[in-house]
Amino acid sequence: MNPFIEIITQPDNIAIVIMIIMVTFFTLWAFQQAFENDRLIAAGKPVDGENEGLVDTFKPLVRIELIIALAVMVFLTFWSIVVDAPLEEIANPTLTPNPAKAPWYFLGLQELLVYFDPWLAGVVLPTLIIVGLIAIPYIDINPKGNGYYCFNDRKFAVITFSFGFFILWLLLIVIGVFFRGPGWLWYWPWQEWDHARVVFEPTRDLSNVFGIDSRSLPGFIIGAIVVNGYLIGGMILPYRYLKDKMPEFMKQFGLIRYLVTASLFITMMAIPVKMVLWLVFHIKYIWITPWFNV
Amino acid sequence: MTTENKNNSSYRVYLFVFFSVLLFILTLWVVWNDEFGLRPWKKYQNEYKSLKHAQLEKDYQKAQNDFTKSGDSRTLARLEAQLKKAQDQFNSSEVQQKYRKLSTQWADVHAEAARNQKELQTARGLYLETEYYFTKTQKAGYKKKMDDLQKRIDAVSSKASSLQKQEESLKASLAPFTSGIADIQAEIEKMKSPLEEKKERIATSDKVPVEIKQVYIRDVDKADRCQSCHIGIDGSRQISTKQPFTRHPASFVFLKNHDPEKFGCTFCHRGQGRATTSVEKAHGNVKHWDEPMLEGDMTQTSCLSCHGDVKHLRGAEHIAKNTELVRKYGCYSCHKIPGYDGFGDVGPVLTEVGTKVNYTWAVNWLLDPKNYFATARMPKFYFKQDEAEAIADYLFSMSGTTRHDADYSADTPDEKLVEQGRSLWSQARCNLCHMTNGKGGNNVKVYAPDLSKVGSKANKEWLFKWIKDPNAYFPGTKMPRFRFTDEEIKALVEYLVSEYQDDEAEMKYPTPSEISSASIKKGKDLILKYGCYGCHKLQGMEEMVQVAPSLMSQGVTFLKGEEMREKIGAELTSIGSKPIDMLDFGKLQKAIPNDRLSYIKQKLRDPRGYRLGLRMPDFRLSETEINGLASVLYGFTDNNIPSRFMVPSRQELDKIAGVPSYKFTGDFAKIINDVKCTNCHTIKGIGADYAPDLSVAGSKLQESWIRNFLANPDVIRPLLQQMPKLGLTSGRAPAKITMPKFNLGIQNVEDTNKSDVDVVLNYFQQELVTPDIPKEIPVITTLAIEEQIAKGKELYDQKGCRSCHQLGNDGGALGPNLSNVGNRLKAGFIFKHLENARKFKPDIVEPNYGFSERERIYLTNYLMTLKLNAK
Repeated sequence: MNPFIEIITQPDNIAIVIMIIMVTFFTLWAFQQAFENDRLIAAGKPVDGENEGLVDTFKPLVRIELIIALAVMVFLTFWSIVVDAPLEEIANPTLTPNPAKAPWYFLGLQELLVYFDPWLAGVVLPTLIIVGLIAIPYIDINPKGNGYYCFNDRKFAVITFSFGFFILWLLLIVIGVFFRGPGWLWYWPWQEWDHARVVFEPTRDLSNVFGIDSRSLPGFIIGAIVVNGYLIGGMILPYRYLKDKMPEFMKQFGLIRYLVTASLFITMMAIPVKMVLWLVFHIKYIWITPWFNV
Repeated sequence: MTTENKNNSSYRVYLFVFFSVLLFILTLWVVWNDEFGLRPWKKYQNEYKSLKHAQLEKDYQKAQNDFTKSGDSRTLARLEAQLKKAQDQFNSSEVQQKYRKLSTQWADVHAEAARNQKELQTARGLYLETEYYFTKTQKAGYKKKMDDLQKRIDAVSSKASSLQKQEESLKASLAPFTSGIADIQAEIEKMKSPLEEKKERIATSDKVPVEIKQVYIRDVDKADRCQSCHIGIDGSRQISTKQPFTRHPASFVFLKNHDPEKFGCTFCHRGQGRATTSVEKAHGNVKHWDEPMLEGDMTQTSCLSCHGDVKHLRGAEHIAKNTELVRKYGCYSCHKIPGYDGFGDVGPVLTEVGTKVNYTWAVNWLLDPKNYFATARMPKFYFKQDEAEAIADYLFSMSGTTRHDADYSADTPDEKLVEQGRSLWSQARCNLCHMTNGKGGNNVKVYAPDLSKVGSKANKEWLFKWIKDPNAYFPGTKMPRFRFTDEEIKALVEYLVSEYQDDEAEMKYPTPSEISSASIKKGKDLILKYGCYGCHKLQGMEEMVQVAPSLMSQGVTFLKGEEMREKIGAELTSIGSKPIDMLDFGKLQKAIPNDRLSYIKQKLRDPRGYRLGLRMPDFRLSETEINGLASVLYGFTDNNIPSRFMVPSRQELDKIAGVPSYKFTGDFAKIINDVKCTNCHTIKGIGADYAPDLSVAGSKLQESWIRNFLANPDVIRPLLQQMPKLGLTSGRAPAKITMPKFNLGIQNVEDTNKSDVDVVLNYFQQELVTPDIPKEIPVITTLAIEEQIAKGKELYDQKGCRSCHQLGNDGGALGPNLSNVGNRLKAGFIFKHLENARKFKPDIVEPNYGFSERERIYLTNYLMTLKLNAK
């Protein structure tokens, strides 16, 4: 059987198929509403849900939630009767399965392991994701868009979230589920998995490009300069730019909010940067330290 | 609130109701699924119970019918009439009046006695309490109270005994009223009880709960629930022949020796013993379960897990036959296999092969051994012509010879010599081991080569040397040394070469031709690559030997000569449990099922099929052989079975106990090595089972008879011994088989002046004896010997011995001919043999007649008179 069809029909992956369909549907719906509202706002017309003030919780919300909860329970019960929990072979401590894939919802994180030191990919980045999500209400001071969808008034927020969620989370999950085969090698859906496949892809560290051993002191210094330069520069340069262009906003926003937002943002952007360095320039690590590698 | 909102809420109510109902239905489904859907074994158990019920019910009905038909039912009717009459009599008012009066009296006395007993208990209790206080306080008041109580106790107990007497006498006078009825009732009960018991059995079997039946084997941490469906597997009766209700086939072998409560099922059958939700899952025929259930003969592969020796194991015939294949093809020469040691011992020695065979023959043989004869064991290596030549070049150069062919096809043979050779050929029974033109070769396990074309293969000089002393060319060969004179050997060689010529044989090098050193180098490389040294002894390519621990401590790990070799194949010790991912299916990944058994079978079918560069040669096995070998290999597992399950072979036990394995000693060992008795006979556990076991021959056979037999072998058992063997080698014409004549007695044993016959006889008398067989039989003094013989003859006729044994021209052919038994066997052996024939030959067909000692003495005395006079 075609490996793609085999993967997609596996009981494990029913959830991800549902996820793809639902995410696509709701995203399109939300953006359609957002653009519709933008048009209304541009035309100076009132938007449904804008400035509604206080509304009842119970009738419009809790009742619907109850019905949805029932529907979801019906679906989950039916699913659990009809589809057995998919088991794999008996665990053998001396023989790990290849590929060893995490549960589908963690495959995005697992995919990060290709590009990052395990400590970063497995500990730092997930922590920052949670911290960042918690911080959103405190750093988002834009009053627009409460109670309705819009795009023009919240361009930065919507784009940043979409990038982080769709690309860095969902796309990586999809890659992990459908495009990774034995040896965590890339397999297109029409390619057969081959356990004996050999791929030779040498990588190097950044300072090796300049002929400096990345584990030596000069290599360490170069790495430190580049990484810290990225972090500090990534905060200072936009700050100066924004202060210049949007002094009003920056005053309202404040330095602390800016620093939190900027550090979260550039950390997020470090992921695609690192991927490009790896995939295009075959650079594995930028900065080698005795404790972790970046 | 607008109307729209109202509509909306009613719409929501419908949705709420809809989903609530759906959830309720689903909940019911969950309950049903949990109770029945996921527990198919309940259905089977209930079905089994109803089948069993029906069977027991039938038993009961049958018993009832039998009872009705038999005379018992009339007896019962009569008894019942009697009972009625007795009861009527008892119920008549006159009797009743008396009876009631007496019973009222008895009831009064009985009640009084009960009250009295209560009083006694109270008094005793109070006494014990008072005694306790007195002991503790030593107050006189308690003492007085104790005395009073003691008086009271005495009074009450004397009253009790008088009441008991009254009660007994009343009871005795009541008894006659009912005793008649009770007797009849007891008799009726007795008649009915077998029926009642049958009825009871139905009730008991109906009460057996429907539940998971699990066997847990702690030692191997296996939990089997197979008997939840296979509920009748260990039953005492066959309830149904339908699966899963049948009994285990041949359970008197398998289950009797492997109690299912201790072994479970998956121990032998594999499969997924814990699974209970579907047949496929339980049988392990699901993805990711690497051990599908074994059925039928294939199950015998599991015998190998514990049994060190399956050769003589009942119920393991299939696997025993197949383990022979490992020996036959010498798998252990290249692969490490548990229980099989050996290196360079499957094929003949090749150190001097150049002096033996024709060069062209050698090349052709290397190209395809089956072209020379169809039953050749050597596999095909798919050598190209130049490769085969290179190997032959290397071998010939090692023998110090050049490319040459000895062509005798044009010679005119000396007819007289050939005729003499022909008669020697049949006299020495060469055909017993060697096949020629599709005939003979019945002793298959010595794997003697087919000689149909030997005249085009080997040269005369070599044949002469070979027949004269096979051990000189090939130490350890199975070929015996017949004590032929040089003239006889010459005649035999002449016969072989002239009679067994291959007309189509091509001789490329009638004149010798030199060998190039490049070719020799190439041949050597090929030999090293394909590991020819695994089967053939080759100079400088002996097995690598691990050194003694003392040397190891000095840093020496191997006594490794430049070209000493290890087995080149993959280790097969645990091939039967090797993880699937570690089996390389290569280009057949998609073509065949990815399981172990399929892998093994495909490897045997096409050894080089999985990928490029594989070296295993093609044995061109038949599908039966493939299945057989696969079932053996599948049994090599590392499943950590605890030692208490292990049944080591005799040899292993001896090794553990430190008992040295039996070795032939002295001059007899030389004769064994010379004549190869163990090619056919087993002696003290060594040797083949083609001819009778000689381990206790010294206690069994008379010396003079052995001497005569060796000089002139004759058929002893016309059918018993030979026929089954012939059946195994289908397609070959049965020959009248007797032991070959080895011409013993002509020569002395090497380095001594003892005649070899004397050595053999001496060894028989000294070594091949057992204290179990008495030298003499007990003597009966009260009866004249003639009468004893007459009684023995009577017994012989009476027990029908003649239906199997032949006497003169009369009798059956299943057992040995007894016409000359008085000259052949020792009396002690006959005497012991008649007691229990199976003691010395467990698979003998002779029934055990349970003769008394006297009868055995009579029979022995009679049989000892059966002698043919030497001609």
